[in-house]
Amino acid sequence: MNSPTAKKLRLAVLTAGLLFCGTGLFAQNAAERLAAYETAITAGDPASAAAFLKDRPAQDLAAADAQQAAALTAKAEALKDLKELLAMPWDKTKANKLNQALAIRIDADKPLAKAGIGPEPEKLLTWLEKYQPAYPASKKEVVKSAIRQWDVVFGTMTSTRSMPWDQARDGYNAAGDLVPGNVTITKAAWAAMIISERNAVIAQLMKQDPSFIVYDDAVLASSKDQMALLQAVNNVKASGTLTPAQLSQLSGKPFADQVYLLGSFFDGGAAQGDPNLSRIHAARDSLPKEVLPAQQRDLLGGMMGPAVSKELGGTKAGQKVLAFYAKEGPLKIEIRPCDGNYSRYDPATKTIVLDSETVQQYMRMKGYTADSVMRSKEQVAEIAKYMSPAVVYEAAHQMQETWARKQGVYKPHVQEDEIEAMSLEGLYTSEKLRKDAAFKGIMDSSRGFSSYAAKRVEVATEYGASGSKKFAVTVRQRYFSGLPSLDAAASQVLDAVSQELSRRSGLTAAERAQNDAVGLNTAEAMEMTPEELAGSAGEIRTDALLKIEKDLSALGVYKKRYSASDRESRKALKTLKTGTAGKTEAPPAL
Amino acid sequence: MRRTILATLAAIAVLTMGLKAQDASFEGLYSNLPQPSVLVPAVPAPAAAEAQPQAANQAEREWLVMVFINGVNDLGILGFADKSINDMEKVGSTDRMAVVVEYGIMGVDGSAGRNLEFQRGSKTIFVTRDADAGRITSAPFYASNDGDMGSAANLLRFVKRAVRRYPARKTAVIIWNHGAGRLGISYDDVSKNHMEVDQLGRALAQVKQLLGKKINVFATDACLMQMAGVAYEFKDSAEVVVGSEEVIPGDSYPYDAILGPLSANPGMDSEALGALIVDAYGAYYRADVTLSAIRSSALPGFVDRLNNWVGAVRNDPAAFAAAAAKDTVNTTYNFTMRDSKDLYDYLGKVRGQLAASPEVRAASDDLRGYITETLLVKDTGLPSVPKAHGLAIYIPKLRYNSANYEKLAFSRDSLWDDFLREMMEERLKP
Repeated sequence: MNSPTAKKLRLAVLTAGLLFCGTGLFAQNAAERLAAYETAITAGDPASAAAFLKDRPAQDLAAADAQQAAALTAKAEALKDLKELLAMPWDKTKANKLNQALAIRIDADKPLAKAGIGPEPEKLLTWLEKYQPAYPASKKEVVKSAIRQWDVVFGTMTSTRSMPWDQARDGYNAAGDLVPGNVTITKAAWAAMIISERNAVIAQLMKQDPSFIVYDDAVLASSKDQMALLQAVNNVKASGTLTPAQLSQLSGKPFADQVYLLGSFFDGGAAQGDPNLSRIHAARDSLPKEVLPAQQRDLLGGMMGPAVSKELGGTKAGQKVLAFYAKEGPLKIEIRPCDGNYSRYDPATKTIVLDSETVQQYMRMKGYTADSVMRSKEQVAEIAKYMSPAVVYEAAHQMQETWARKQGVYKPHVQEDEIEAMSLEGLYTSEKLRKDAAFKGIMDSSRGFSSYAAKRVEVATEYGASGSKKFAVTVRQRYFSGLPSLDAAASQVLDAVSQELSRRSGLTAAERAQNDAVGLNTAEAMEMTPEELAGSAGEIRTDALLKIEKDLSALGVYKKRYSASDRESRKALKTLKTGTAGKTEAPPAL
Repeated sequence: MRRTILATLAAIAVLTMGLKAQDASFEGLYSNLPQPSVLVPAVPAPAAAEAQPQAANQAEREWLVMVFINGVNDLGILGFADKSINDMEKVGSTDRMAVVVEYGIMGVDGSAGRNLEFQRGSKTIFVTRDADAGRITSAPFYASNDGDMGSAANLLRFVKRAVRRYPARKTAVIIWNHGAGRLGISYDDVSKNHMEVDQLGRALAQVKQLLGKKINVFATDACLMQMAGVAYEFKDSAEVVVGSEEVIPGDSYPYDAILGPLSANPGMDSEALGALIVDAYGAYYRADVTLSAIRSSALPGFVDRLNNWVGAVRNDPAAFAAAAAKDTVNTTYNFTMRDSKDLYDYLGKVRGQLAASPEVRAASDDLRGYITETLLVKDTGLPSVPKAHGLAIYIPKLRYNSANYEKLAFSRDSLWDDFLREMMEERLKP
């Protein structure tokens, strides 16, 4: 952007910006502004992107060529989204979260690459220097870590690294000759890798060198938990409470078996309140009698609906959920393994699925068995109380899905969905913690050992204390950094769709018909994630692409819904705070 | 198309005959195993098909063979994915058999330094015949930027893509990658995704819906997948389920030895193709491997008999003691994943300890007979693995993995999970 033409264009954009800031000093025409926007946005200018997205006449003019308009909008949305992402408070403790956020945005097929940011991750640093020069050096260091810059990851290492990749490793044949199997990573190759490829290399390095686990928050957290568990096991073994026979049973066993056996020595609620045993019960596998088999899960799921409804009654968020099911119901709950998640919503069956492992973990901590739960209304009610925040959270997802179905719009799963769902859950949990002593007791006694309970309390506390804007940033950064924002999702899909439609405009009618005859239809396309859609636009029928392009070109429909939901939750929280139950207080540190 | 270094590939292909796709170590890589025999179709190959543009109204073929090759991991680096596709190209598609491959492969460049390369995205090819054993020449007719090879949704899209372009009376779906039995299949090192067995089951159910009938043959060219709980997940989606109880060597299925006879005799039915895959595999490796083909329509009958056996054992304390005994379980033939054991062998071990217990003995005989006579279409049955009989089952040592096993339809429909929990209860006794 150093040529006279470029300077002129930047001036035009600046003028456009001023115009839309309300100065009205210079009424440059829409065509000139549009031309300036196109150049500036393609060069990655976020200010021009923001100005274009507010400039209705220029957008209308651009719409004369629908595909070019969609492509320009996609780049503008992506730049706006990137600017907002990086404006969040990133410090070195959040570098891995930023890594996830950037990995889904900076890639070969993403609109940011068409604005000069990617696919090579280091292009982001150049962009920062140019458009965000005021960012502190500390933030730029976090970005370098997040994109896994060579020097950050490999330090002073020379320009190549030879490494095995699982079974691909150097070895020797029967004659003693070296058979190469390792792979080599050069600094130059690293520079060309996208972030997810760098992460794949680092994941392999982690297997060989524990110092690399700093690049994975989940592995870090898991190793921290394992250390605490090891300490708990050692404490119990040294406590003198185990018989010689029990100690002998533990002897020589793998660590996971020892944890499991210790749990069996103190099952049925024995020694409750002992923090070491609580940790062990929470971490171990379920004993056979603690496993909920299919038939009992079915029964428990059936009992959970009414029991959870009882819990929800009398709370502001709960009332909203109950009103939804009164209209769109019934509330259907199943208990099943959820692949490491606490819960999920299954749109195919309109069912909320609660994770059986999370339920079993609670049973272990309380000394309950599958049979005791089946025989006790009180235990079922307690489990319903414990799991009720997850039901509220998934109910929000069901509301979103129902809305999208009724609107008939393509509905990507985006951060805004999670902000809405976690806000509703936070509102509910916050109120329950104030008003329901039994609920508070359950959460307080569990949160030290159960990540599920800890997260529920954390979400409620964050939501109650920080307000919706700050809470939204927390959700985007801490919990769902790997999920696209609405802007990011829309920009990625629009970019791919407009590119594909442009390509098809060059085909003959017969070729287009042939393509459509074998392509994915609208229903199939509507089920795809933004990532899948962006990657597979080439095999989607034209009518489906046009429909999705139309949906995502009018984000106001989606944003209006999220805003309304946000206002409603904020209002409810305000009422809650001024109510008689008092202020939300942060729980004591664990 | 990126090529892996051919010289290295050739060297490794010879040296790694013993490389197990599931092994964590490199043990066995340089063992002196026999060189693979190159199997050439016994009958002249039919006319090879040209690469064809997308077409909706092509004449229906007899067979559509769809292979989902996930080489985004060490198997890709070692050149095995390229090797399998090249094996397919030795035969290619014909006017009566279409072979379509979806592949994502990471690898190394052609330099001595073995520089790592990522493919990015996946490609779909209509496999055409060539004489170049070292290079994939079939032209991609589709390339996707979303190359997550650990995604069941991606698998489903691939199948739709192939089925709509290359209609056929019979279909085979093969997944090529690492397998971990009941724990899943198709591990992608870049997306860090894989397919859980229940996810795969749902994807195959959608394929069945798309086809309007069962997939004729579903095969896993991946380790350790032929387990009762895994095969049962596909019972309503595929007529014949082919898989291995044991690890599968990196060389994978001998695709030329499978596609050659299929192209020569495309009239063969599901079971005939299942048997062909098993026979070709056994002939290629000759020792230390297992592969079997299961008749899915027999799986409900299998579960009835298994439940009958569990009921009989539960009613007979001596039989239960024998069945739950550590020694019985520990001496049962197990595979590389140690809690995966041969069911037939286990039943025999229990039966062998029971002088009385006529009901258990009868239930055992009935079940063992049903496995060999009715359930199995074919089993490699190689002399070097005499205790592997075509179907493995989960028997943990101490801890029952409810997070995984309770997801499976097999746990819902059979009494095996109940039996395992009772067995694990016994393990807790001092």
